[in-house]
Amino acid sequence: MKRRLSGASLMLLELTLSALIFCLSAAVCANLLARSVTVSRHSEAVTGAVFAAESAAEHFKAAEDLGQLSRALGGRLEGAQLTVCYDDAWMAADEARYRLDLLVSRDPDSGVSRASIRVTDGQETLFTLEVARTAPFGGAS
Amino acid sequence: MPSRPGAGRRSESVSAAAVLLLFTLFMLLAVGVLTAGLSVYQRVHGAEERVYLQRSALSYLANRVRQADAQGAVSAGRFGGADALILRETFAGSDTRYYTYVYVYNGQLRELFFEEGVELPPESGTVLMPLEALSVALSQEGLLQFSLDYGQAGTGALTLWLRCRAEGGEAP
Repeated sequence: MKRRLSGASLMLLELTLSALIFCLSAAVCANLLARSVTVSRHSEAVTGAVFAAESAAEHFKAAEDLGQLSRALGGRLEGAQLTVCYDDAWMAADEARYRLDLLVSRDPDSGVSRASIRVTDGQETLFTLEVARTAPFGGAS
Repeated sequence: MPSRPGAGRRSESVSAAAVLLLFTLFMLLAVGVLTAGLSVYQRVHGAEERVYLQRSALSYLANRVRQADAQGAVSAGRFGGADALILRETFAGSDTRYYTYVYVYNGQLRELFFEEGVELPPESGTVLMPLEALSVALSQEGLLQFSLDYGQAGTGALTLWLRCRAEGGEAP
């Protein structure tokens, strides 16, 4: 015996299908929106990292030695490496949201001092910068 | 077996109620997704504006200083009751000095170019971008420190070392 579908049943079927398709689209959109927030946050962090690294490079060029550089940037010195921690607003802080590592080296032949600057957010590298100076720099190995 | 009288009508009513329920659920979900999308868009747009402001203002100041970096040509001062970046320049064949002041007035970063001796009010500067406050300080080592307040968009800072401040204007 054939059963005929009523109008309401047909509409129910159609709505169920629409809801399923909508749920799939919503899941894709939610994923895209979440990714856009992540990308936006990353972009904001990279902008801050670029200016923090640039400022550190300028301090490196102006300073006479590692001690002066450490005092100017408000960082912690370990050998030839200086570490500066920043909070969310890119202000030097004890609790690290972002971290800037500046490693100083000196080429004995040319006398050029170099600083490798790396800014991280604790997980990934946001920005790196290499800077060199020919003027003597105390404390570089 | 014959169906009971009224059973078909009850089944129709149940189907109609299910349709209504599903439709309501569908609408609620649609509104939820739209609201979430709007909220995320506003958040992303706000973050983009903040990044744009920070990048533009700091890059502008850095480029202005780099462009004008000559011995004694870059200094920090006051104008219109606030800190100002002062750039001095002369042009070939003329002894006249010209000044460019970069400062914040009425919540706007402004630039004012004028000849030495001319007195202009701070409102005559060209408006560049919105900015709440600008602080400029020049240290003895030649480090020019900028602190920017973007209002709701946060703060920013940049330090530049004046390469030509050293005697002879040589970069080390």
